[in-house]
Amino acid sequence: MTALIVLFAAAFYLFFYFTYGKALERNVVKADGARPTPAYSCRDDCDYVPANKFVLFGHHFASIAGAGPIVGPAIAVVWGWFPALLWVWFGNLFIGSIHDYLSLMASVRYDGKSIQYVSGELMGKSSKYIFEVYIYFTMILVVAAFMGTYGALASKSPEILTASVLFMVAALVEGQLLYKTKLPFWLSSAIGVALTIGSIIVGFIWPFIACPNIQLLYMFQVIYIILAAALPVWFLLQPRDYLNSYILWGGVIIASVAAVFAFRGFSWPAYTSFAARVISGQPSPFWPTVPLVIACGALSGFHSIVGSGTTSKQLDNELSGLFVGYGAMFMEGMLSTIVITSIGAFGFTVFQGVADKIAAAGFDLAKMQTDAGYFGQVGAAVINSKDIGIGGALGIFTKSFGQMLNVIKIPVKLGTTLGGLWASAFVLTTLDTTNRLARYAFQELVEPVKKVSKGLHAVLADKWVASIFAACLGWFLIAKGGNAYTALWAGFAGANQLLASIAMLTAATWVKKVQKVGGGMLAAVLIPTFILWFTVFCALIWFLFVIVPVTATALKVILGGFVILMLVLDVWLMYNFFKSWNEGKLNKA
Amino acid sequence: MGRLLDSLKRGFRSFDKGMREDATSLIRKQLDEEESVFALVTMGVFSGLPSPPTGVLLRILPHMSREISVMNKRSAGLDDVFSQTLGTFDID
Repeated sequence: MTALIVLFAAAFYLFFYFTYGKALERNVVKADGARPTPAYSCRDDCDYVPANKFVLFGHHFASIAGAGPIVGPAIAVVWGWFPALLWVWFGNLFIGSIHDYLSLMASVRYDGKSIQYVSGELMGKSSKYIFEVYIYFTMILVVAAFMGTYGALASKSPEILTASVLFMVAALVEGQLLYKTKLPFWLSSAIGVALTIGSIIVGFIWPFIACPNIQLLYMFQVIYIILAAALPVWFLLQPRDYLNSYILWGGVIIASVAAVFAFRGFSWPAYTSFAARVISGQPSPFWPTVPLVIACGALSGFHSIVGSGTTSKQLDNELSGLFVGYGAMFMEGMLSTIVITSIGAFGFTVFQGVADKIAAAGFDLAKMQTDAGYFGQVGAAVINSKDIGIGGALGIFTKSFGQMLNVIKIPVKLGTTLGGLWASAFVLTTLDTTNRLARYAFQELVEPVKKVSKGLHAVLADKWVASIFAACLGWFLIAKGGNAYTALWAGFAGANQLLASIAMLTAATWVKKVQKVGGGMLAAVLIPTFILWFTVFCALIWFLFVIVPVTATALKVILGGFVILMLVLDVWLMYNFFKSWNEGKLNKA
Repeated sequence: MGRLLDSLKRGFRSFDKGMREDATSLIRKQLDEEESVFALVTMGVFSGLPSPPTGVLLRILPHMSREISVMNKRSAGLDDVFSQTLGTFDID
């Protein structure tokens, strides 16, 4: 079954790449290999520089594949592996990949300008400001949600905590070797990779760092992200991102091989219930709430930012856009497929390993195996229970991953530590990167304060103040929110999907008004655009009325405020869309 | 067999190139920023900043053509730097 699913997914993506993808390239984007891309027309060998399409694919994929495609599907499997897989495949095919590809190509046609710039050009300047406000809120929620997922995992697994701390030390050493010594690149890289493998092995053999106190872990994370955001990039950020690339590619290759050779049937229920208790223990209807759970594996608004922010400036040929923008999203879908496959096949083996704790916590493991409806009601509670100690969504993934690697003779605990380092390295990377970016965004958002009070602006825009503000707001949300990371994750995913809505609305406007596409191909863009917008809008209303009221008091105000603001901005955006659709100006490109 | 080996070599070269870029992309970006600052310090006279003596300025002018053109392009796109920053730092 595992081999079947992974091979079917590969065939599925390949088939649609060469049929649907090519049709989009031909009829919607009208890609022309002879038309110079911004990498040539605006070449400055600085921001605009043509890159080999395979190299660019690697960069783009590494940029978009963080912890998102792992965490979301690992939460969504409580609905059953089949609906989660369907959303990853079809959401990716009909929405996510179109979103990524069109954002990239619209940006290419606008001299590599960002998608929010294009939205401002096509749908009015206020759309651009809405985009930036969204981005800031999304980043705060990312900080909170990722802090929660890492806290849940690391507090229950000294192996993973030890490995991830040692990995940071390995990154510091790698930074010194790469940039402060004259060692050849291959040698310093080999040492860095050896240290990374060493951190996994030490974590596996001698897990000497343990911190069961989750609040303490949050505090360490806050200190870490504030420091990491203020350190020079060569010191930690750059070498750690570099070593992350090896973990990503190594993880994908090992997981693919293990999934293909596992030959294991799925013990996890294929389908549990339409309204399984997925988010914050509340009955969560699959529609419309699935985009609040599975973000990056099927669709992510951040991809439009990465695609239009840097990738579009390096694309060497318009015909490479499909491979880079569309292909990388399919690859991310494959990654999520592997996550779901490993949990589907080995998740119950993980449960059986803690059967006594599950029973002690009052859950019936035998009934979970035989009664899918019961599983839908208690599955998330079992995964997230502190007493059972699976370690939340990341915990069930890393432990299932460890079981899956055992098929290729890697000890379970070693495989679990590898999976844990894979996931936690990305979570920590996302955390400190996001905090750094939230700092930039905050500094940009408080720019108007300068006109009112220069002194106040100087305080607010200070790098430490801006950085501490973002980190502490995230910390406050998760710590005071009763460790409800699934609620915060849903809030983050909602904001992220609304960001994707803006990009899709912009792309649809571009396709209709600039590309002059009509008929079926316009529908191929417009229908997913409206489905996405409507689904996420409904999901956020559901979130506001069902989830926000059951969160801790502190969260009610902030999270509720975020959601209301997002909904208002979303309606405003739709108004801009229709206004520009009927009377909007036309621009170049 | 020869073609297979060539493909493998090409693949390895692409991988190596990608990894080298991965190891230096942010530092390169920082260097670009420092070049922009240098351009501003030396050529800032055009925007009212005090600059080095004219003789020095004229002597370094030919070496600054790329920086000036980059600075020019960037100043035109100052309202659109956020996405690039997010892309550079690999947010996801």
